[in-house]
Amino acid sequence: MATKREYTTEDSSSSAKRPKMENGNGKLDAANNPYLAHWNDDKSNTANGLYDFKRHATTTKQASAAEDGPLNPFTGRSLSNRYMGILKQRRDLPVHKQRDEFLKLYQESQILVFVGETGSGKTTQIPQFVLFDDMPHKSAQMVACTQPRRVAAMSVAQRVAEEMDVELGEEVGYSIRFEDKTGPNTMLKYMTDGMLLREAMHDNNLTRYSTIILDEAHERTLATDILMGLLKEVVLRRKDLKLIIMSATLDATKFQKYFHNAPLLAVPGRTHPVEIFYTPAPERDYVEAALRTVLQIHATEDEGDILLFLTGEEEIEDACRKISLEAQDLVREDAAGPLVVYPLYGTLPPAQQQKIFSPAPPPTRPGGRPGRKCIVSTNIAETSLTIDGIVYVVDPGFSKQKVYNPRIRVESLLVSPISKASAQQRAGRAGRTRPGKCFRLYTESAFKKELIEQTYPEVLRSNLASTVLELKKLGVEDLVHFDLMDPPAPETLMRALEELNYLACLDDEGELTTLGSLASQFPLDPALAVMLIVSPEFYCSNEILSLTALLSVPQVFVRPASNRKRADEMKDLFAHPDGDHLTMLNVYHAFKSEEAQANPKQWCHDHFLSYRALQQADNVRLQLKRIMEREELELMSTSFENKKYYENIRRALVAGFFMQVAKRDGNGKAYMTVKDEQNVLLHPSTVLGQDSEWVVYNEFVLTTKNYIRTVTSVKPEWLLDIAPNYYDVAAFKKGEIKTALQRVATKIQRKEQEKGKR
Amino acid sequence: MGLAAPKNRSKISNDPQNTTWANNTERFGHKILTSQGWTPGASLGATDAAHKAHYTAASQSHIRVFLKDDNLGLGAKRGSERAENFGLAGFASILGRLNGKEEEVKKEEERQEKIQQRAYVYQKFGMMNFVSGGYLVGDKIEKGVKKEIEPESSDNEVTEKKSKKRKRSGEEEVKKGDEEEPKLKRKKKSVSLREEAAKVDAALKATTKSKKDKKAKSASETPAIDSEPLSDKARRKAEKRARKEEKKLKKALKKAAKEAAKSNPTTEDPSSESSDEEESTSANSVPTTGTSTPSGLTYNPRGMHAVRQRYIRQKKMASMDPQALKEIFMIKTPS
Ligand SMILES: Nc1ncnc2c1ncn2[C@@H]1O[C@H](COP(=O)(O)OP(=O)(O)O)[C@@H](O)[C@H]1O
Ligand SMILES: [Mg+2]
Repeated sequence: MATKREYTTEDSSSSAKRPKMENGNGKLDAANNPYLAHWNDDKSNTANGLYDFKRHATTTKQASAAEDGPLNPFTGRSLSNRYMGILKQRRDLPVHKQRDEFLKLYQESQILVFVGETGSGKTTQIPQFVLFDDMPHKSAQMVACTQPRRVAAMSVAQRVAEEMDVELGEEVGYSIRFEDKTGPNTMLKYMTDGMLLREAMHDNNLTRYSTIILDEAHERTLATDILMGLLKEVVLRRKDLKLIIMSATLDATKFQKYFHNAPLLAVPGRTHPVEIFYTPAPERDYVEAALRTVLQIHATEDEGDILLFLTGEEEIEDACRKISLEAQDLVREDAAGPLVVYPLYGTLPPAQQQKIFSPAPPPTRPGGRPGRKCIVSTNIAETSLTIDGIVYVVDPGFSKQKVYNPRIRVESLLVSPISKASAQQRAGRAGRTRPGKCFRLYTESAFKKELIEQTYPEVLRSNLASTVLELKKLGVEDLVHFDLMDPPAPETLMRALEELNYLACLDDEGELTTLGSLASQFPLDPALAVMLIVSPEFYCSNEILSLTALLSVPQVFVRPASNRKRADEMKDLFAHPDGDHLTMLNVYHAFKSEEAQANPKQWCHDHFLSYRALQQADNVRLQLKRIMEREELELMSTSFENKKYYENIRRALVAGFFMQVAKRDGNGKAYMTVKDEQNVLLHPSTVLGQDSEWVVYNEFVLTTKNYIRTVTSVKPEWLLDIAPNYYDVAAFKKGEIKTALQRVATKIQRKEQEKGKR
Repeated sequence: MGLAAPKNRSKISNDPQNTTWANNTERFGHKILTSQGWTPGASLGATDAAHKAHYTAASQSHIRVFLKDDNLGLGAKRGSERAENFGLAGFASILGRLNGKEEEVKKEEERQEKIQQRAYVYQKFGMMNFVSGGYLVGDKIEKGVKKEIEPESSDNEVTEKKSKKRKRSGEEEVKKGDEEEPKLKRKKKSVSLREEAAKVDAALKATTKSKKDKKAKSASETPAIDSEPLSDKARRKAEKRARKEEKKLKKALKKAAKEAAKSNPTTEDPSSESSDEEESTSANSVPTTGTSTPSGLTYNPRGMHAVRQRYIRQKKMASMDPQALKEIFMIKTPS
């Protein structure tokens, strides 16, 4: 009892005892005291080890003592051996040396800009530093740390849970779109920046958080940029909120300027040099050159793992396969040691993502050549994930980047040259554990002349319809003067406003409508959200729900290069003559059938479908269904026997996608998009074989030929009927489309009149 | 074909930039923006933003990109420019990787074995050549300022050489002859490779007349793989230049050898061999002709340079001629 009282005093004021606490003795005694532990457990959520910590006045020494255990300062359980091992590693990280300075600045300033090279420990350590000083659990709040990528959020949360010796989803959790792994005890939450933005829509002041860390700010994702704009205002309203902006690029002046000259803390950089190599001349085929470089490194270079950057899932999987095959040959010829190859990209399931952290394989025989691992990754490995042991980086100089053209309303992911800044980041990955080498598959002159300095922030490369809807929901009225670090082109904002207006999410004064407010509840593009919300009017909300989920996940059809014909035959089993949307729906229904569910993996494999995508669609559907139920949107189906079953679905499609319609140009193969009048072709993958004059499409694929992908045929009458504002024929530009629509309008009128006469 | 050229378009829309939309000021979007105080031509964003100086042109108008629908490497142009690796440019980066020491001669055997292994890899996949571009310091690249290499050693040379190279296209052509092997390998992998290897082996049996053979060979083989014929005059000119360059390189090499010996005495670095070998090629060939030199100057990261041909030749020379052996190991030679 005595002890208890003592601590209570300590907690509340404490001056006399402070010195004693700071030398760590008091704390250790307390931690060792089982009686005390029990007391702390009772006060659920009060940390055992941190009872004497004064919020925003702690020191590194205190925190270190608490970290040393023997009891976990946050849970009161004893710490594992593994924890101790990791703790030692953690203390070797560059950020650790700056813990004092960090704490000082963090305590003094509301906003702090923190820069440090990838691998210095920003993502994993800084939030923990914050926990010991901020102690959000004491005020039932949390520390949020945002990540631009789902993969990083999951992987880093997992790692930090291990570092803190807690169960993932308990004290440390993560939250990404369609997946929330947090619980009532969560005090540190890694989340995608998009998720934090969504939370801000419901809680404009983000009151659940005591500290918000925007990590990887240099990546300048759309959500991070918007969050920066919002938080800049929130910190004025909430003086108790602390904000840390973390970046891997050293030039942070832009961030500082933007945040009212916030203080900057920089951790000194890597210690190992990275030698850069260029090819003496441009490469004919960067993928092939990359493969050869990897194999050459493997056969001839010293021990050390390889990181190869490629652009997308397909390219990466293909490269992994080829490298593995060739490497096996090398081993057989005894020209090299064993090589394991791991892919890394955003849509990879978490378990497979974790594999990249496994150590390189041992030599095949004792004394043989050392093994190596090779990671073939998208941009994720550029800064988001730190993989120790990488000594060689192979950089072809490309990545997939989003671009948006508001004139023709096309947003696409295109393979484009990276920026100089990206190239340097990539190279930096080689010097983590010892001197490394970066092989650039381009010439030095290409580096200098063909690469732009900085990658354009996403806000300048995106369709902003969702963003504008979110901003409206966030209460931002004046979009023109919203303080973004890089404001988008005016035309991009106009397009977004216009799309939302046509979707009836904004009224003619630019105010959010009920529909718009509802649509903002869904983590979906406005067109998809509107389609889903209005689908009950077409008696097919169950089906549209499935379809929306299917359109939100990667491609469900698998078409391996080696077996295209068979894959196409299988796809034909599901084909619906009216289009790809309906075909996808058929696939989903078949997938959910008893027969398929008996062994869904095998079934998918047999039918050339992606089990992962379908499973994901199932999950997304469930999440969306919850939102629909919460918003009291009715779930219903037209009876399958009813001949309007498919027609209703197609009409509901029009209700969301009336701005993505194309009309066939004469009798040929060519189509022209409505209003924007771009010439397009149906993507070769379409099942739509028959004569379809009007189609809705899900995606405009920008290549040297413009394709529309995932298309379904619709009737022009529906366009006029369902989206009369957009299809205000009088406002159309003179041309074939206008004439055709006029004809349809006249026909409808005549019918109406006849009806009226009868 | 990296960048979409209009000729590839199936059909260009009447108004690909959709100026109909852009010029229409009656639109909803235009109306709302104007009502919030925006004037055409102005950028969005906070008034008097402190960071305004950082805005880019992309805040005015959307970003234009080139469409890429092929695997053409960065900087490669379709058709006109060939994507082979040319040797000379990479030469100087050999420096700094040299660790030759006379005592290491006994390691020669081991090395040769490794070379054989590597040769397998090259034969199989063709070879990648690289040029050193300096060291990454922070997020900048610094040329040759690292512990291992002294500032003026290699990298400056490279740059110089490269810029020259760029100016003289003819010079590049010369190298093609000698570079044919990697090229061939790359193009028609296994089959042609085997043939090639056999050819090379045969050619190399008579080491002494190799350069002549080689020249003849390259001349005769070039057209087969190279669509752009090369005028004799251009070649001669380029060759002359190559010879000059070579001398410079030789000097640089020596300097680097010293450096390397100093800074890196123990590590047995596979890369060094190749560099060594390269050096030997140049060293040996200079006095005689010079025409074959550029090929010998090809560099790649660790050791891999060259073509089997050269390994074999060097191996032979190394065992036959103590002077050559010295040169291979970059032991100081009278200049
Ligand atoms: N999933 C993981 N598995 C093993 N080690 C990890 C993992 N994630 C991070 N680490 C270790 O933590 C260090 C710091 O990583 P991180 O905090 O992500 O750095 P930063 O955010 O500065 O790039 C890494 O260098 C690595 O040693
Ligand atoms: Mg990080």
